[in-house]
Amino acid sequence: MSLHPLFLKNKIKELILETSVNPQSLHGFSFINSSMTGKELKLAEVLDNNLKIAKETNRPLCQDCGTVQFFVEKGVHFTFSGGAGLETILNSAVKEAYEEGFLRKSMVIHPFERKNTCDNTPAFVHMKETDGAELTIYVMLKGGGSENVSNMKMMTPAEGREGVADFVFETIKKAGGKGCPPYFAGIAVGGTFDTVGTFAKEALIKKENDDDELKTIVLDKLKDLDFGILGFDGSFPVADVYVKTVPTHIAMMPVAVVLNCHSLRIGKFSTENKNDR
Amino acid sequence: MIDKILSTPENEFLEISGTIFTIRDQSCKFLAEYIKKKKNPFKDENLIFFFAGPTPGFENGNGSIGPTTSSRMVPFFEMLISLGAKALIGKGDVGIKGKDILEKSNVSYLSAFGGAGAYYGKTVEKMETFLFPELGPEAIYKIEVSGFPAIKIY
Repeated sequence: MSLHPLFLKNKIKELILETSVNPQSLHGFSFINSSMTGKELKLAEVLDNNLKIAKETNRPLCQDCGTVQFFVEKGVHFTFSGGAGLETILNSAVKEAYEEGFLRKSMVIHPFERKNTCDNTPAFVHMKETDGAELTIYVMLKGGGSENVSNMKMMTPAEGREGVADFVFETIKKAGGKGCPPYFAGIAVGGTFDTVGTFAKEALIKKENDDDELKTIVLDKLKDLDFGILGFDGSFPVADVYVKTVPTHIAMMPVAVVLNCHSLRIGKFSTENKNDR
Repeated sequence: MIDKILSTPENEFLEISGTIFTIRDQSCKFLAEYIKKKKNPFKDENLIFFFAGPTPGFENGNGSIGPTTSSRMVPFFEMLISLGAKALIGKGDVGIKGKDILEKSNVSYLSAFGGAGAYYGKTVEKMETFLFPELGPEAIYKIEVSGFPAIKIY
């Protein structure tokens, strides 16, 4: 499989624009459930209406149009015609999407100088080389509020699932309304200090779960949270939890909890899909 | 509008219609420097400030806007009140210090709904840059809203 870089850039630009307004990750989703009453129901209606208005009036779901992250799975036999590398192509797509889509540019060039890059680049790219000849790219637009309340910890093997579930609970309790709940939480256990956060995002991006036992303990503990939608009183602080377990060292048990706000903005491009070729 | 806000009981929903000014981290800092040298730039007395940074789409008819975390702006509460603020709108808790300042001056604090950017965008009927256009989304914008929902906290 081979693609022209301009074709890919345009596809990714369209994917960013779609993900900002009507993300694949929230198709068919509703914040309302049958147990809600009063104020919580009203808040859930605001969030459902937010999804509807964004789609109908082509407005960004959230004014924080996020940091762009790409998770790339590139088959070893997949090639580009032309000389540009993938990061260059993806950053061009970000630049054009944020300009043409009137999306807010939120990236600063230096953590202390805080000068805006004015085009929302750079995007952060995670690359994985896979077997075969296909190209799959997940894009995630993630706001600052929920990223700021995510957390990681180097735990010890003896702490087990109970310990991890306690850490997840503490992280979400501390986050409260700050990161715009109901949260979608990605949890990774294993790997190394640097990789565990990326794995937690992968769990979130793919909405995968490979440890039902941990998920059950976590969901049970989360019933004790004392807030609901957007941190106000209620019963719906967490929309869903995804768990990924990863091989690790005999002495280690890294844990990461990535929280995403109610605007879960993820999209997927894949050459396995005929429309993406 | 201010009377309606002040008379709404705590923890009640209300809808705001009228003029509000956006402000956030950098524009608070810039405003503090500005008033050291120049007069109060706000002509009205009953000001409502909204801690927010909009998307640029309002010039294209499809902008989004929503609250940012108010606690970061607490160091500027007294300045905003001295310039005529009667109500502040943002997201989340303002802490004991923030609450004290608000209570002392009889200023209301309202929590808007985080991340409901498209919803709030649709409530904006007019928007103009008021101060510090160089700050982009962090500039102070004067906006006219209609049916802007929030919960009264204090």
